[in-house]
Amino acid sequence: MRKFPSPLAGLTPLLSHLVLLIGAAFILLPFFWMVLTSIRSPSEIFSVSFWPIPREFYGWENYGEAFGMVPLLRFMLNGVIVCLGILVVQLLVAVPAAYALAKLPFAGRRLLFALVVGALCVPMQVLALPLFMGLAEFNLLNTYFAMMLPFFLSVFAIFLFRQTFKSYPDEIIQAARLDGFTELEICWRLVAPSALPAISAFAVFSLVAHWNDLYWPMIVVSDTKLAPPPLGMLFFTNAEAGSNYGALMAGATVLTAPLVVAFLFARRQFIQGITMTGVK
Amino acid sequence: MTLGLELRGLDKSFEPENPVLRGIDLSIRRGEFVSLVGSSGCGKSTLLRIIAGLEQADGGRVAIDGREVTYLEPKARRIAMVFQSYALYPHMTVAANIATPLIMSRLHFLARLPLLGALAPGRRQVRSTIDRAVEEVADQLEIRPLLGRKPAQLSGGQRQRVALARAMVRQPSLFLMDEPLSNLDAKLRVHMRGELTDLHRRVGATFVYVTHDQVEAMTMSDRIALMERGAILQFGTPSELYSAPANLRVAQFIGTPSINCFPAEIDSAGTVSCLGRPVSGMVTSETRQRASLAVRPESIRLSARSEDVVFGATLRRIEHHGSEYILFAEPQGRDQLVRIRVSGAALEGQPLAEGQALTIAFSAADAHLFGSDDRRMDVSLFDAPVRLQSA
Ligand SMILES: Nc1ncnc2c1ncn2[C@@H]1O[C@H](COP(=O)(O)OP(=O)(O)OP(=O)(O)O)[C@@H](O)[C@H]1O
Ligand SMILES: [Mg+2]
Repeated sequence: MRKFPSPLAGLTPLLSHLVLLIGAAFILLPFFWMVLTSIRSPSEIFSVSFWPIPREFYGWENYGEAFGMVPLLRFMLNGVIVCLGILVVQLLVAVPAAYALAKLPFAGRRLLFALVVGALCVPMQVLALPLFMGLAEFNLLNTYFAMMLPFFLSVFAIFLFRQTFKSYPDEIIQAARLDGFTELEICWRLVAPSALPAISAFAVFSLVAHWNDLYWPMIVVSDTKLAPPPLGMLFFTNAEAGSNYGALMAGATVLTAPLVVAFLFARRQFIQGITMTGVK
Repeated sequence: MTLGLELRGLDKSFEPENPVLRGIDLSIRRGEFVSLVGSSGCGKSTLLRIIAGLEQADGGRVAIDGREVTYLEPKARRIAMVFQSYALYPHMTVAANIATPLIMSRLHFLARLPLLGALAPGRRQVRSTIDRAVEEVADQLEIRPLLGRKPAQLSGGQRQRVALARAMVRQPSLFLMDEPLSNLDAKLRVHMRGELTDLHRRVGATFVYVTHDQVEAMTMSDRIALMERGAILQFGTPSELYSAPANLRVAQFIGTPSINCFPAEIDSAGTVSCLGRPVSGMVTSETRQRASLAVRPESIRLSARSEDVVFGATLRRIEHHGSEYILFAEPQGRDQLVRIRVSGAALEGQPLAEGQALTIAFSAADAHLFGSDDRRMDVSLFDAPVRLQSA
């Protein structure tokens, strides 16, 4: 018996796309509004029109003002320094730790791994006060180092990499030992490259999280010159430009742009990394 | 003469109550091809990893070419290993895979660093000698055209050759191979058997070859070590294992179709009886126990001579194997199939049909006697024509 496709069959993909479109619209609306506001004139800002072309293009003025009033580029540079600093140390620590947990037999390995999993459940806020007091004690407040320190050890990275490394074939590692690789060479030259999707997925997570982090920089930094983007924006609002929404949104657009661009470039790796760790 | 490989009292257990290796002793001559055979899980791979230094034994010693290596790192032992999965480095080309052992041993740690290494003095020269060595080995194994490919772009047989090349390039005195042919199809396996034997003759190194395929072991080895549950049951030439098995389980493991076993008893005078009747002319010094009498399928005949042990049996099944036949016959009153190998010529003019009655016979001289502990028993044989009647 032949089965005829139901007349609704063609609608299902349409329907799912419709749902996705509505969802996307909700998520993208604030961004759209932000960009729109950044090119509108002050008189037009409070009009509730979605029409993308402003009556009067005010972009030059808004962006000029944003760059003139606060050191936007400085904020971005701070963001880059902090994010990269955190990411590099995170990888330097987490990759060997995960390799040891996945492949090296040593006493207490299971206990250590249990601690890693347990540490996943400790929110950063719990540690904020002791960390702050420690940094204050050593006169390290208002430094890049203070902004990076709490994130150097990422148990999430250790956990994620350990799960990925676990599936690396033991016989290749044994062959490498016979060939004379040192353990560190096995870790960095054989095992880590094979886990590149997971590592890049983690890198995106880490960069996004710390580029957007306001909580910790606000606690340890009060100097405008050291502020990363979100804290810079906060200084911006508090300062003279507090009511100049056009300039404020122009600043916000500039500070968000790098992440959006980076995500568009790394999209494929990002998705691959997440689905892969899901399967294994 | 120094030994190529000497193992003394190796013990290993991963869980205390469950030893994997129990007091392994083995002396392998330099240049010998030795197979380790045994059923799955008997500890062959573990033993090989201990020889390679990839695993530490709980007790015992390992010496290679007369040099004690028990506590040396794997790379300091001057051995090469071919793994069952070949274990090629997936992101490197074939050429880089083969070159790696040489790069690792000839270039200093700093000279191997990705960028800095290029500055190391003398690196260019070392690299060019390495490249020449790689090409030489590639020519020997006829994989020169593959040098630029990645392992994922190779067939199973080609990967196997690359793994061999990577082992050969460092010219080790000891080759360890863990079931290197088990991932190949039957035809290629037979072909590679010949190639490995040739390779062994050419390089003259000591080979320790793990397999659970007794045909591989019988055809390739100078000597075979048969393992079971972490111990070596017998170590000897293929013909010794076949014609004088030291243990019932060795007898059962070696040979296809496998050996026939009949329950036997030994009385206080040392007379052996099989299936309730004395076996003509077989006497042993160890008395009073249950035993087993084992007879190879080709030692069982369809015509009885006067001194033979004779059964009446029913033919149950005939298998054609080209030039020979395997017959399966059920002795009267016993729930057991006796395997008999007869040549096609012997059956000419004597058509057999399933279900027909047969007389099967073997002489005491062709039978192996094993005691209740499965150990081979010494027997004295004398010609005394006693006929064992069928029941
Ligand atoms: N790392 C390990 N941890 C715990 N037990 C192990 C480990 N390696 C091997 N074993 C156990 O040791 C025993 C022998 O294993 P081994 O791999 O040496 O067997 P094998 O003779 O090579 O078998 P096969 O023919 O299937 O390869 C097995 O029971 C196995 O479960
Ligand atoms: Mg094995």
